[in-house]
Amino acid sequence: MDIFFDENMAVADRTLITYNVQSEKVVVPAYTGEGQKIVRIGRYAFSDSDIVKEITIEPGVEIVKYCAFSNLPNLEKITIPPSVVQSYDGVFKGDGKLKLIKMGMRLKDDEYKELYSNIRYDVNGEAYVMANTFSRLTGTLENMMIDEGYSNWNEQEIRGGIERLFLVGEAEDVISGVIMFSESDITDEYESVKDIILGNKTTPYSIEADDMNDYWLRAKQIIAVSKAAVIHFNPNENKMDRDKIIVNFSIELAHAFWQAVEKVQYRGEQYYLYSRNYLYKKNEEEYIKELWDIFDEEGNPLDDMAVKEEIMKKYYLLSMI
Amino acid sequence: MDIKVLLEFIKRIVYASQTKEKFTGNLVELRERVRYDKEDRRLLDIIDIAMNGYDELMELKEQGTLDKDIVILDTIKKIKTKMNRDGAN
Repeated sequence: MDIFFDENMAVADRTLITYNVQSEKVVVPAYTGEGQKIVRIGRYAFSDSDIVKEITIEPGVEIVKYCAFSNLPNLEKITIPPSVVQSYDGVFKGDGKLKLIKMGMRLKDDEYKELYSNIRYDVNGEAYVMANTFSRLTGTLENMMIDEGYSNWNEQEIRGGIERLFLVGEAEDVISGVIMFSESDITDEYESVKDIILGNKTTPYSIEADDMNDYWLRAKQIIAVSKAAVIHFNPNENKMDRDKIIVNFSIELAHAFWQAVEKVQYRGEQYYLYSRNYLYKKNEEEYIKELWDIFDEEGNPLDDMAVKEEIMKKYYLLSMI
Repeated sequence: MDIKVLLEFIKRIVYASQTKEKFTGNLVELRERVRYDKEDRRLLDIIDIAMNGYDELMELKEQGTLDKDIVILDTIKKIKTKMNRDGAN
C-alpha cells in the first residue's frame, strides 16, 4: 500500500485520508510530494474548518467521498476538474457560504502545462454524480457550473438556493438527467433558480417540449450558449410564451464558457432574433433561413439585408447555415 | 502498513480534526483502506478502538503528548478497557 505523509496530509492506498486545512485557499493535490497518484478524497478529508474560502481540486482526482468538503462554513468557491467522475452523499453539507461550484472547467493547454506538467489530463469516460452530492446546502449557493463529462446525474443532487445554474458542454445529455428537468422531482426547493444557462454544445433541439415544465417556468430567464449564440428564453410571468422566445446573440463564440458568461452579463451590444414556434422546428436549415429575423436592441426589425448579413457574418451565424 | 504507520495516521487525523464527525469519518476511510489492503485484524482492531476514543485522543493533543507512540498505545489500551467495562455493564 502506498503511504505518504507531509505536514498537511496523510495518504494511503491512493486515498487522501485527512488534510489539516490551515489556509484560505487550498489546492487538493492529485499527486503526493513523492509522485504517488491520489485518486480518492476520503470521507471528511477536508471537512470542519472555518478558515478555508476557496478550494481547487487538481485534475487527476477521480472520486470524492462522503462529506469530503462538508462543514466548511466560509467556503465560497470550489473548482472540480472533469477527472472527478464520482462523488458521494453530502460532499458540501453545511457549507453555508458556498456561492460557486465550477465543475469540469477545462484549462487552456498552456495553463495546463504550466500548472500540471506531470499530470495527464484526461476526460475519457462519463462522470457520475451520486444522489445528494449537492444536497444539504444551506441555501447560499448562487452559481453552479457544470462542464462536459458530467452527463449522468442521480436524483436530488442539486438543492439549496441556487440562483444560476450553468450547464456547459454536453448539455443535451445533462438535461435529460438533471433533476431540474425531471417532472417527478419538482419541489419547492428549486424556486430559487433564476437563471439556467445551457452549454456551448446545446442545440435548439436539446430542448424538447417535454422539458418545458415548471422548472423552466419558474426560472426568470434561461440562457443557452450554443455554438454561436446565446439563446435567451424569457418566460412570461408564470407561463412560458413559446411564441415569444428571444434568441439573443453573444459577441463571440462561446468556447470558453466563463468568458462567454462574462460577455453575456456585461456585453453592451446585443441583437435579438425572434422566432415563432421555435421549439418545434427540427430542421436546422429551416430554422435559420425561415424563422429568424434580426432585431436591434430596442426590438425594432432590421430591414436592410446588407446589415443583416453583416451581423450574421460577425456573429458566425452564417457558419450555422 | 504496520502499527507504527497506523499510529502516524491516527496522529494526523487527531491533529486535523476539530470535530468528532471528521475524526470518525477519517478513521472509517482509513479502516476501509486497511481492510482492502491486507485485512490485518490487529490494525483494524486498533482503528475500531480509536474510533471510540475521540475524547481521550483529543486530550492527548491538548496535552501535547500525541507525538509519542507509546502514549497513544497506552491510551488505546485504556479506551479498550473502558469499552470492555462498558460492554460488561
